[in-house]
Amino acid sequence: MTTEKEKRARQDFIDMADATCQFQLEIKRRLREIDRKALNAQVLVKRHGKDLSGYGVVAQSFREGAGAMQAAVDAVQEIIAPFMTGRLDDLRAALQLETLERVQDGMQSEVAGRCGGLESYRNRLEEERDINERQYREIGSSLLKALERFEEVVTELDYVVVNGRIEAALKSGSTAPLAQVSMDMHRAVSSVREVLRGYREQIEGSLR
Amino acid sequence: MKGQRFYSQGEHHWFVLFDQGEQRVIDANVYALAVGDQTMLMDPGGAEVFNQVFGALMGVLPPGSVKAALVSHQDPDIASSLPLWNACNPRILWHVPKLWAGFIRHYGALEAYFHEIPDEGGDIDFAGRRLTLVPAHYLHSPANFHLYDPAAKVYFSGDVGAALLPPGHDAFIDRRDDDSPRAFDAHIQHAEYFHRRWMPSMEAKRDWCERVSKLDIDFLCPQHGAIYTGKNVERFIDWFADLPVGFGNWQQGH
Amino acid sequence: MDNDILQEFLAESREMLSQAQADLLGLENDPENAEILGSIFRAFHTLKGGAGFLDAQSLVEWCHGLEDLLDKARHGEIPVTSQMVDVILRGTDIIESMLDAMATGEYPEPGPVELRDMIHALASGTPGATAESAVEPAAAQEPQTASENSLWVSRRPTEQGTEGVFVEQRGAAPAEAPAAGSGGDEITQDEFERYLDQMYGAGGAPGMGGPEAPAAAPPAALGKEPEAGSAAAAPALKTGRPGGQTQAMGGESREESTIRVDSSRLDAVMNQVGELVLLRNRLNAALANLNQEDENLTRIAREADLAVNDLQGTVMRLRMQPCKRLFQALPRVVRDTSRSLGKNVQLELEGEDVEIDKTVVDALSPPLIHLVRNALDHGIESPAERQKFGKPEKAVLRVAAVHLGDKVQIQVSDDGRGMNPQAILKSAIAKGVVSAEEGARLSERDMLDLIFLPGFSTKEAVTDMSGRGVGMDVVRETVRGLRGRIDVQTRLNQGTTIVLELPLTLAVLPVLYFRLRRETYALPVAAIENLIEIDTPCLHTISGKPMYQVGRDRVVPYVDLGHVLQSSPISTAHEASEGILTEHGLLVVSEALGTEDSVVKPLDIGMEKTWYQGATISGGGDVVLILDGTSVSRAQRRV
Repeated sequence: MTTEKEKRARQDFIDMADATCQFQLEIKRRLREIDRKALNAQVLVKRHGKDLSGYGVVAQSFREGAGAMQAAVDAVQEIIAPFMTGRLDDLRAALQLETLERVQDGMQSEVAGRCGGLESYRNRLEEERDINERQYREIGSSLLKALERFEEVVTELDYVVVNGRIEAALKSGSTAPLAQVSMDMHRAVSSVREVLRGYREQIEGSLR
Repeated sequence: MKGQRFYSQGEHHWFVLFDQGEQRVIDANVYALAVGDQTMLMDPGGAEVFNQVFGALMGVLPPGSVKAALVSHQDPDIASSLPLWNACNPRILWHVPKLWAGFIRHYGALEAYFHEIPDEGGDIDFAGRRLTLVPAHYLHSPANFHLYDPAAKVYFSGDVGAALLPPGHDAFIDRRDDDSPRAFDAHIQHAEYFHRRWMPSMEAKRDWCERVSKLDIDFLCPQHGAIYTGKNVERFIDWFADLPVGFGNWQQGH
Repeated sequence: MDNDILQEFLAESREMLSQAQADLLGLENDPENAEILGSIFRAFHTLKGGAGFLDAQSLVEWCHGLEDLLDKARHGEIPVTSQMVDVILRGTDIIESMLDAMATGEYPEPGPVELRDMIHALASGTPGATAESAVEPAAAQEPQTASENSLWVSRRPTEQGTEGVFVEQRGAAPAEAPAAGSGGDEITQDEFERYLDQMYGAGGAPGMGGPEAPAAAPPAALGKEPEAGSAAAAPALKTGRPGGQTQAMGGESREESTIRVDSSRLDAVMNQVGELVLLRNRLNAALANLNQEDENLTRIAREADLAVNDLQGTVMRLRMQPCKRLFQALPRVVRDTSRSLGKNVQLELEGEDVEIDKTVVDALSPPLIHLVRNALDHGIESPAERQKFGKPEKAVLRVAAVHLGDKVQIQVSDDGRGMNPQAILKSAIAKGVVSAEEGARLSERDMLDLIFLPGFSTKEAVTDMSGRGVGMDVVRETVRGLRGRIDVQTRLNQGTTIVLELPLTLAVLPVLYFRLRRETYALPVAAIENLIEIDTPCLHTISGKPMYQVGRDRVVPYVDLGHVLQSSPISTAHEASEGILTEHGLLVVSEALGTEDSVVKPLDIGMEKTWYQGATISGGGDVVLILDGTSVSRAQRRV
């Protein structure tokens, strides 16, 4: 029988898989949005020519920031794959242990005593499970590091965005669309920060 | 393995998970029907590719949303991942051919929650959508079902239409020039031997072609290879109807 | 003829002539203005000198006649009248045609005898010699009240024996009155000639490369004259164009500050800078694709980037010219046209200093004249009609240039009767420009746009003024050819404004690259309002056409470029998609990629049949087609 603890662990795993899925989908959408806003800012600058040339640098930084975020996401995703695989291997090992337990439980004790191989197989499975567990934690901590790095990139971009908003405010007048773009950008970056924080907390929880 | 959405209307979506990385086992597609926050898998695949399928699914849908699955027949490339999925979520409802139910439990999910499909098939309800389980016995398995989604005009055809394509293949047969049969002709070469060898009965094939040609199908989705769309659906049914298969036929042309 | 000298003479003469024409119109409004009069006089004098140097005898004689007339007017021997201004203006037209003849290497023919006689008659102080003058009395001093108080000015010895200017009231008892304020300013012709010679050296009028250095300050005895002298020198300075002629007045030197350059050389520089821009783009793209980051290389590229940008800006400015040049023909057009139509119109020019690409100035002149004539002919009512509507009798025609970011707007507004969309539609249907069924589907906006279709003219009869050859269709094509757009704003009985929006420069075209499945295209950023994510619930079908809701209360056409350019619609459900919002509609593409300053290469195919306005070389080195957003959405609307 699957233990309650094992059941809870599996539920946690599925919750984490769902969170990872939501995270990936959300981030993909938000990054595209940020890139679009950055592009929008560039288009605006080009349209208004010299008047907004100072803002051109900001718009360029938006795009570079979006690019840096994409790189950070790629780094995170590269780690997510082995992280989840490790979890799935755990699941597989647990299932095998379960089957083995069922087999051993069904044996008469004298028969079981003569099947030392089964016992050592079981030990090996348990050992593997422990190694898996350790590796899983290692990968988990590098995933957390990648997420932190991601957060730093977001913070950097946020700094640029704040600068952009100031710049747009200074150029008041013909720059209503610019202020709008800066505001949108700020919202998009903040929402990425939220999504990121939520996911990091989920991963931290699973590693505790 | 990649996940790609190919139908979308409101909260009703179809995805294909295809082009697996593991080459030592047969390359298989998994289809996912999502309605709102509930997902149904068509032939969830073999145990050896479970990690890949799971990862690809996670790229497009939350795995926790899987509430049901169809196991069209008993083959391991179809059903051997069942205990793993079941371990993730013991509340998944498995639609399995009644004839095979006792066999399929051998994969290791004695407690899994089964709906045993009678030989004549029939309609089921998933998340408020009506789906039809279409009998396709002896194509190739003696108890075998396809699934038709009349709203999306998606027909999941199991092994029928299967083609053995090289790695890196597309999800669809090239559909840029639907009027020309060229892309279909090129593709079907990869399907011919499979159908001659694996489909045992000319009679079952004729019966299936007759029934399925009456359905309105936009996407014909086989478990191996690429999806048939537009005029390629009709092209396939016509081609299959004319193809000699099974005992006494399979060696012709080879 | 020495060609270099000839070319210089022609260029200067034309400038001088156009300034003289402008001055003449000014003189008409202010006949007392000795300064203007002197300036015009000196223009003809200088022209005469130059023509003499080049042995263009007919031109010398013609200028002499005009010079003589003006000299007499200067001296108050004859009055400045509207009729006189008219005759001199016609005289300048003759000079223009003579200059044209010289430009082709011909010696000009003598001017028309009839006009010459008229000039002579005026000069001889017998204004009655022509029929018109009798019905059009005018006076030097009080032109406004001329019809009631006709004044006659003449110069004869005063009672003291000195010369004086006498103003008489015609038809009333001759009133002897010394001309106010003219006594001290007065100089004789000989004195004046001497003064000119002092300025330019004997026989060395401007343009002739006079051998002697300009004299120092003119004699104090000349009184007001130095100012008049400055006015003569003004044209080249005021306009700020490369005048070529060194002007030295009162020791203030403008030597070598301008230089005349053949515009084809400028074009060549422009093209070369264009190539450089493309190379810069490719360099940047290549660097971005470089696997390793080389800080040094990156810095060099960035600096090269800045240098190319600066160069581009400088070359662009080289080609910029003030709109004054574009506007300079308008006062005359308005004057002549309104007169012949019996309308009373005041022309207001604004933004003459706004600068715009030379190509635009050159190409836009005929369309602008057409628009002005159109406004005078169709827009502005007769004084009687205006009175009936309680409008001031004098209509206002405003032509303005406004600088807006990287665009210049040229607005032609009148306060006339405005356009009636229904009347336009009716007329268009009657002329077979559109069918009645098509017409039934048009919005008022679309109806107004009908005036831009070939074969349309709002009046039944083609009038002499606006109905000649160039129609509104040609105007629009010209503006489009300059990558601009044209728009009509009109209110019934309040007037019409035609707005031409043109790019500041044609040298570079900032574009947005976008992907349509596997193909890359470009769209000028000037057309782009915003990039948006396509949200399916905002997509609607309104009377069979796909429309997209933007924001709360704006609905725009939904233009699926996949459908238009690749005959396969983009499915927003299954494919990557993104919306580019333009003023003509939402263009649906796969993905917006990035912006770049590109250089347009014209396409070698009939532009009317394609969606493209040209091609460019992307940073990646690929040829990318530049989409013409307007024609795409227009075509879509017709579908």
